[in-house]
Amino acid sequence: MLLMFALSPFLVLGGGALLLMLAEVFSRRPSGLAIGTTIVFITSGAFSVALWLYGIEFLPVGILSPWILVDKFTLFFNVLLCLGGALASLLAGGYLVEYKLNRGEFYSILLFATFGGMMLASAGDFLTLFLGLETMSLGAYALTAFRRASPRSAEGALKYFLLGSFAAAIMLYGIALVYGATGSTDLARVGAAFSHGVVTSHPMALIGLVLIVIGLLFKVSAVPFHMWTPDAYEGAPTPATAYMAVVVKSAAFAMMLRVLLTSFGDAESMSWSAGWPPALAAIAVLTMTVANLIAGRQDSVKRMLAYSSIAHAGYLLVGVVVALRSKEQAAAGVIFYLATYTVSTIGAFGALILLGSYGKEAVSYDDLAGVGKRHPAIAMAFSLFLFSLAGVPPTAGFFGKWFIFRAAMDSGFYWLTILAFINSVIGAYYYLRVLVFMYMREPQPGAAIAVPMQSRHVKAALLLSAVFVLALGLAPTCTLDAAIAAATTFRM
Amino acid sequence: MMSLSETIWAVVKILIMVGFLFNVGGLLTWLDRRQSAMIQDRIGPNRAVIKVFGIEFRLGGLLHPLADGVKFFFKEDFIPPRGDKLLFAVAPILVMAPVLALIAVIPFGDKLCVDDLWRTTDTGSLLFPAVPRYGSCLIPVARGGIAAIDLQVASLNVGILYVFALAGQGIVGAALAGWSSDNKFSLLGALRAASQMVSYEVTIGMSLVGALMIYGSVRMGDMVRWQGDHAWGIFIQPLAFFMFFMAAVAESKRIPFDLPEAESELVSGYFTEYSGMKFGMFYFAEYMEVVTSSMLLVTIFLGGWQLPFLHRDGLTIDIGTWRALQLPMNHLTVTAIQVCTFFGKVLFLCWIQCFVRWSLPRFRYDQLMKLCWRILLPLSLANILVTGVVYLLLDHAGPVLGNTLQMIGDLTQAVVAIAITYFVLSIVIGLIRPTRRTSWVVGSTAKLAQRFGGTPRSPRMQA
Amino acid sequence: MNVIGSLYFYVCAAVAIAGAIATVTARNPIRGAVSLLVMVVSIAGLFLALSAEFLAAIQLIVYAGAIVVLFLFVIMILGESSSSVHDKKRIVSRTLAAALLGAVSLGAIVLVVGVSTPLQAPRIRAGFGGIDAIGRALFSDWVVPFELSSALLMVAVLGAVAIAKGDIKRPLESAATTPGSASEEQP
Repeated sequence: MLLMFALSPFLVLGGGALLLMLAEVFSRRPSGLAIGTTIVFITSGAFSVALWLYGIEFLPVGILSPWILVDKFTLFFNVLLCLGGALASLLAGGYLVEYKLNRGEFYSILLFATFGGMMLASAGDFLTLFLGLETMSLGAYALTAFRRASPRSAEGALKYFLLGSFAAAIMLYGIALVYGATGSTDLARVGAAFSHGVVTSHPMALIGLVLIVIGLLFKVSAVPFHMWTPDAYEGAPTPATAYMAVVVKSAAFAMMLRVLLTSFGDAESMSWSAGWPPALAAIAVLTMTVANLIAGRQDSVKRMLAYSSIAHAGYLLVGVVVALRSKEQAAAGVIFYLATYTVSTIGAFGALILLGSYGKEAVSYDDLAGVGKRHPAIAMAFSLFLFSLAGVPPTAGFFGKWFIFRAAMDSGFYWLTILAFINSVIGAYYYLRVLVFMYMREPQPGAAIAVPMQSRHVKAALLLSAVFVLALGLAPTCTLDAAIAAATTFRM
Repeated sequence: MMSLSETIWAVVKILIMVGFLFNVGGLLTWLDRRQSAMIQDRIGPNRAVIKVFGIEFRLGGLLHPLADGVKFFFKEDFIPPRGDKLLFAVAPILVMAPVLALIAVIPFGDKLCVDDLWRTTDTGSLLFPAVPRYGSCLIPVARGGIAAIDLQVASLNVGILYVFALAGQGIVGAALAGWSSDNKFSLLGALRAASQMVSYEVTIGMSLVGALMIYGSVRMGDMVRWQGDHAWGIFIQPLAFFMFFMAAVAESKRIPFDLPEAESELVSGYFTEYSGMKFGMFYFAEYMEVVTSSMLLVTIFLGGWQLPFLHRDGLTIDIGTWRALQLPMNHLTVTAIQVCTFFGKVLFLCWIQCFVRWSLPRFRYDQLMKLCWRILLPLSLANILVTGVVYLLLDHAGPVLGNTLQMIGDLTQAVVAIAITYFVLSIVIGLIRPTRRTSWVVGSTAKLAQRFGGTPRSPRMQA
Repeated sequence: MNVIGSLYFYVCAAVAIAGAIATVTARNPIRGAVSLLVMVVSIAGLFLALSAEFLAAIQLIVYAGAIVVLFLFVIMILGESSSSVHDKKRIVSRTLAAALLGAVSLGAIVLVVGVSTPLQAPRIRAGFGGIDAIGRALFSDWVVPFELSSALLMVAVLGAVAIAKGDIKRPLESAATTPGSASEEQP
């Protein structure tokens, strides 16, 4: 029974998805599905919180180990992923109805993909890790291709699918090599083998490590592996974009932290001279810079947000590199940053959704001209989320960046911190550009004007996100403590 | 390495199976024609004649398959000029080879103790010993005996999966045949064939899962033995039997599932462009598929080589705990009866398949797909679930229920025995009973015509 | 390994490699698919040599019986248009990149094989790789990942249904096309 309790976040999500599929067949009112999905997400998250409060040390390990590790890191991510999923399903509740895409599969895929994300965050073995990764990715591919009528959607989905499959294959090859060298797929045992110097006796472990890291970097869309991101994000229906930017990325970072810190977290692999940190640092710099520079030149706000999410992956990678000096601090910083990033990004995409309606979508900067006067409430919410993404106090994003930068400073990465800081200044330029258009421009006479949609679901999601953004910005202590507690998982 | 006797036995087993397959496959072409003639109320094949000293031998049309074979060999081997020549040549092989290889795992008899078949006593007379029902041969290997051999070309660990693995390869052959012919009809036929076979393969696999759960093995020999000890598969998994039967007919692409080669729509489907022996291979492979699918059905659902109450040690009629009759028989007789039983059952099922072919109209393609995905597949899944639940319940029930079930199983054997006896008897009676030889016409239409004084009877007419 | 065993291995391996090369180099996609079939079947043969009979059978059922057939199916439906495209764009740089990648991979393999201490393969038990052993392993030690894989299959089915059910007739975004998308690549 206690085992069931330990698994309850998963069971709720999986069972809820199946129930919703049944409900979709028999129900006459498909709009209720969004609420149902949100409730399932919230229930699953609540079970995670309950597990946290119950105390993970009282839970039985049994058959779950090492496949699924129920620790505080897992639980924190479960809550985070469920939060992202719940907000995304609220957005979908408005968006899909408005754009006449309301097919119930969307919600079931959302739930199952989040299930995969939770598997990813909790996997203690490369096998479950890969299963989770594929579950999540397949869901994301399907969500991207959901707008069947749009060639852009198909293009984005195809690119995402092909490149994603390649990345998965590369990663699987790496896993196979690591398994061949160490004789185990258990993350902890692989880590033990690495600290006993498996690399010198079996150099293929090193190649495996490289391939696995490449696969990880692809999933977080770091820069040389980011080609799919803008097209996939632009082609997907906006709630799916928000979902991918938030849940998929969070789960991928959870996986990255777990793999890098557990399996490849020995002194040799983490050293600056012979390990993965310098490569990751270089990629972090590349990611931030390239993404920010391209994001500034976009015409489409959605595409700009896509590039901005790549840039955020760069900041997060800075946080991962910090693990060189202190695993716990690195993990805590990344986890907290992901929390702030989740609520801000969902909010930004939600505001973009709310500003448009069928045939009158808000896509480009020009569409946003004068919105500040016509729809002050939405514009204000949008501004709040953009401030948070830019890292302006007192919003959530500020503290996210603050903790990561401080951790980098503490670890002696001054140059990396400075580069990251310069990049967030560049980032502020294109976020503020949206504000300029919203408040200081008037629409061209005769140009199409974006008309906001009427949807209580989207409004609720926006309100919730705004509350979270402000709460995390004004009183980050509680969440930060939780993040630090979650990071103790990597205490060695 | 195999010893000499093992090699010889392997060759003998292969010869038996392949010989049966080829001969019955050929005979089926004749049976199909006779059957269709009978059902359609016309005179069947009767033109192929061998004339010896002025006497014409027709052998009831049996010479037709022979004439067919001769024709296949001497016809022009036409290859479409713009097609893919290599694939065009490979495709018939890909269709034929899996069917041939498939029979390797089908057992046609129980384990055979070679040393116990007969023995010469000290006085020089022949002795036919009997072997125990369970357990090993009389002379164990340790004392110089030959190990019992499976009457099965290859006893594979994966058993039934081997069948599925091979069945999948035939699809590729059909698809390639259609594509390499450079003909739209062929292509359409190939598309139809590929999608139909892929779809029904799922049903074939799923419908068997329930039976496999009960037998607890995927080895064909174990399945047959289980059925001998308990009850035949058709009584335990009736739904699965019919689904498997349907899907097997669909896999061999025969009426009512012959859409890939529907004459009225696609000339003759994916092998429209084939002629000569290459066409012969497609044609023959279809009949061989009938034989192999009958063999599978017999093995999995109709007790394989088992005859009711006939065990390794002789005839024993047990109903529950009550022993009605015990008649020990020697090993040679039992084995011979069992092998004949297996082939008899296969022939019976082949005949049923021919009967079905001429009784039912063709499906429409959407109906075909609906039947597979919306009816058979859900049913087979439900069958798995129900089987699992019932199995679990029975597992937890007491020994009383187990004994009752065993009794019911024995009763089904009795029913089968009675049915077989009746069937055989009626055939024998039908053969013995004198028939009126005066009238050459059998059909009602001809009789009607005759009554109205219509067509003059041809003296050469034969029924 | 005895002589026949090694001979079997080398024949299967050679056929597999030949099939793989033919798959990549075939100009005609159907020929490519058939070469893939050859490769898949010879890999099943290699599995047999490793006494992994179950895997061999599954390899044939899934890859040869379903996936290659699916390839054939798609190529046949697409028809001639799919069979004669020869992309000559940037052929030099692509070849160079492929050669570089191949050389690096080969170097890595040589390096790894040269430096590694040989792995000691454990002696296998009777019945290893058979259907019983695999089933027992799947439902005892590996039951968690096995059950979790159902979520993967579920989401794959759902995704396929979700995309297939979509309405392709209704133009959704006629006006809002931005440059840099698929429209440029049409010849």
